[in-house]
Amino acid sequence: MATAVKPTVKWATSLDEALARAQREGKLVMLDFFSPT
Amino acid sequence: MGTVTYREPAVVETVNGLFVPIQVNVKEDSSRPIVERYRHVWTPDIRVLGADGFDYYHWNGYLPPFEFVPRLLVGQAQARLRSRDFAGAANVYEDVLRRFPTSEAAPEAQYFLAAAKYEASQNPTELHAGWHRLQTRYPDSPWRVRQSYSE
Repeated sequence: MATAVKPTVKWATSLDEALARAQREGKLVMLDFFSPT
Repeated sequence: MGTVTYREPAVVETVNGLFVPIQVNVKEDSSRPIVERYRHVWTPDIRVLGADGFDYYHWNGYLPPFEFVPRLLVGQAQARLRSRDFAGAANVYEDVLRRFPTSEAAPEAQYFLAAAKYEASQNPTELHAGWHRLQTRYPDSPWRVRQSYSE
């Protein structure tokens, strides 16, 4: 029986990559500063 | 955020569909250049950036999924507004008001919807009609105070 795969946020791995992708794809960047708890 | 908000399908769809998301762990030394570039000080800290890195919109603090989506859309609308894409901004603000009329972001959307429509048309009636809706729909909002000279 197939298991449903939950969708997940596809995080970029660097700000440079995120900005380049945003330029290419005509999107904005969502930057999340977080502190692990 | 990671344990609740980012697991909600509506949040995932909005983030992946409209944005390129990136997380920065502020405790890591390697994050220091980005922390200094954006003068980050307190988490959670969400920024909406243009492809040139310009900070169009930001907020601090945890938001549950049903508040996160409209807040992020208001950030998208603000980026369009500040890029002088007034019609595009108005479309997003209207979407927020239609889908999330009771969200904490809704009064801000109503305020700037009026501004976006006015900037697009240069018709003061658009501004006053939009702000009248703000007065009647969100009378206790801080955003009402910001246009109270018109009351």
